[in-house]
Amino acid sequence: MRYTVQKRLVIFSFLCIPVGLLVLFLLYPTVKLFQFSFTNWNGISESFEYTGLKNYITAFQTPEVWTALGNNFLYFILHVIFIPLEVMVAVFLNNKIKGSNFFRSIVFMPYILNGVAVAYIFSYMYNPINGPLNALLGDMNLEFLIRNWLSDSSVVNYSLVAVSLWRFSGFHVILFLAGLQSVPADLYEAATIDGASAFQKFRYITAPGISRVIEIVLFLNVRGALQVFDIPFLMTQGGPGTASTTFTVYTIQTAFKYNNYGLASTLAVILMTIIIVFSMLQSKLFKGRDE
Amino acid sequence: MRKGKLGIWIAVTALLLSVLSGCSGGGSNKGDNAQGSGSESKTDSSAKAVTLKMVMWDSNNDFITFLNDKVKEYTQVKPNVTIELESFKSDSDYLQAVKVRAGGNALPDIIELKPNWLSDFKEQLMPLDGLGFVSGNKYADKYKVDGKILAVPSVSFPELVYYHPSVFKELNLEVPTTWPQFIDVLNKIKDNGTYIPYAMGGKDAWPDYPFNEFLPHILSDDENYLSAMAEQDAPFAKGTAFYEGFSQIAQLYDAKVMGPDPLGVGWDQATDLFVSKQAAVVASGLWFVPTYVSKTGSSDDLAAFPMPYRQNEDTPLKLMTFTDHFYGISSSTKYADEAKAFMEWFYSPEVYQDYIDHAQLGSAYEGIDANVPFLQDFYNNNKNEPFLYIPGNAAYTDLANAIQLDVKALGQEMMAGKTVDEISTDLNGKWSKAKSGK
Repeated sequence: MRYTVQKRLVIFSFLCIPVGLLVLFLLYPTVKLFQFSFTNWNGISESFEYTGLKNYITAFQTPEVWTALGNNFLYFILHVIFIPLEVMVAVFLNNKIKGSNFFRSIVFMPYILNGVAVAYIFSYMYNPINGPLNALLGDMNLEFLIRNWLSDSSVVNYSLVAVSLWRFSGFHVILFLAGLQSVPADLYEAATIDGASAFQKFRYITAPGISRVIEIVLFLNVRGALQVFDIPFLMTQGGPGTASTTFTVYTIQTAFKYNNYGLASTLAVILMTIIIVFSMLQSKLFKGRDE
Repeated sequence: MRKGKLGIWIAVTALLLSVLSGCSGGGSNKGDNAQGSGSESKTDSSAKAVTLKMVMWDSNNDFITFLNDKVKEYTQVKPNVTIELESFKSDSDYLQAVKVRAGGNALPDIIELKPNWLSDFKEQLMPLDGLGFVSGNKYADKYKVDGKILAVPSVSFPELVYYHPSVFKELNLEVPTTWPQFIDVLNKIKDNGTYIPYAMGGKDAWPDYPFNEFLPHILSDDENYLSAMAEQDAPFAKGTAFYEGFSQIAQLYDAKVMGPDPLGVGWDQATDLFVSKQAAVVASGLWFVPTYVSKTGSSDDLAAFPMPYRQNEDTPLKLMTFTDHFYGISSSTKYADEAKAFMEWFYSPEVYQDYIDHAQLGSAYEGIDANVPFLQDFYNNNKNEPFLYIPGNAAYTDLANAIQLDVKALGQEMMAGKTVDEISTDLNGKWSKAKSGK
């Protein structure tokens, strides 16, 4: 066998498996997802009909879809508001303080906890009967702050976002910390010699130094906020009624509870499109700043 | 040039894989059932060793263990047949798993179902009309889909209101037989302040089913009320059973007799409050009794009465009766004859008697009575008229799914303050739109 043929055979053999897996588990399901999004398949029946753009029109005309997206937006915006605080904590932990390794571990701990466990812990914390949170507020003479944390429609989404913040902020802090540690120390030394203030150092050295990390955190935030599922599903099942339903919870219910896989596929396509569009916008924004 | 050729190779391979996987994923490929049916032949020889897969749910571990052991006994009857039982702890997890398998044409041979799932799975179930074990079933005829019996119910049981007789005695309360009396009793318990009157568990949505699901149904006085709704243009409007029923429920929710936060606690916590006698009343099916006994050790301080949906004593006291744990045979099974033979054995008097005695629920078969003392006491002490829960037909199910109708979630919204008028207007709008779009 000629060398070039052997070489091609080896390359082909090595590529065959990963490409095959990619096609089987990524491309094929994605193609099927797009196909189902134009059908009325109920997920059980052996047959279905093509309904054109009906599912897309239904999705955009259904108020519950927009309500669910609004709830997702709350997760996004509150996480964004928390980014400066996360950066501050990272800056603090970046200093050589006693027990900084311990604090870094503590900050990261919520992220590695199982989502189901987190949901159960906070369900207990928010419990209206003998729940620690309301008991604590009572002991501190702050009775006026006591709420039905998971059953009051006007409060429930904030209660759930608080859990999300508790769980993911530590991860963001660790990412920022990694970014901070990649900024060369001599830049700060030079700035100190030049008489720069702490704010000026942050503005002109730290912020540009961790901009790539901020971009990653923002991307994770967009993706995470749009796909948030486990916390509302486990803690409230989207309730009371549909008050805390997020886009993914709504999609899952459309598919499995109401047997409308066609519409659920459409919602999944819409979600994918929103994430891609947001990521592209964000990427352009950061590229513009870099230039 | 070389790079170009390599790219073509990869593209061709990817296309081939895609086409191959596409063929294997075809939902209508009935001939491809060897793996899809979930069954497997232990050998290919003429011995015909067969493994039948059966799938069920139950929240009671002891019952799952019992059933697992019971179905294994079938090997003594038919040595070549092995029953492999797969169990789930909750019906919602079970339903999701079964739907996914149905979509992939990979259903087990014998499937357990709830009555309201039958029309969804009509294409996946084999008609059972004329088979021996169907003829003795008291209810199978009532649950025909498109004129065919697709599954048989294993149990029937009443939906009850449980209470602690000691609490009623302490507060000098009478068992209510009308809706105003029921609310009055709960108000008196609330006024006393010692106990939570009614343990709702509304965080889970489904525990409000005795009200939001059953009350309009019973008020309609038509067991086929849900199917009849599919014919109506505005089934939620003023004057309908739905509107009147929901208005009646609103009276109960507005009375604030369900503790400090009925939506903040789930079913398990609510029943714990009842079991520990912090709450006085709770409503559910007969299946709650084994749970109660397992937690307290006895049913000494437990009694039940029919939910008094009626407004006055001039009308009969209807008792909602539910049939459950239907079993059907998958239409894609490779072993239809073996599955039918197993079902004949499963519902034979001796095996079935053992089944319902362990399930601690009512019998669904003529001539066989369940040995459930609590149930016998209930029937001895309470006069009522059974009212069978019949789910909506395919037309109703399609419409309800199209508007994402979940009456139990609506119950949550009512507890959170949504009015019946708001619900009625919203649902009528969606219903007429869904109906005209058909």
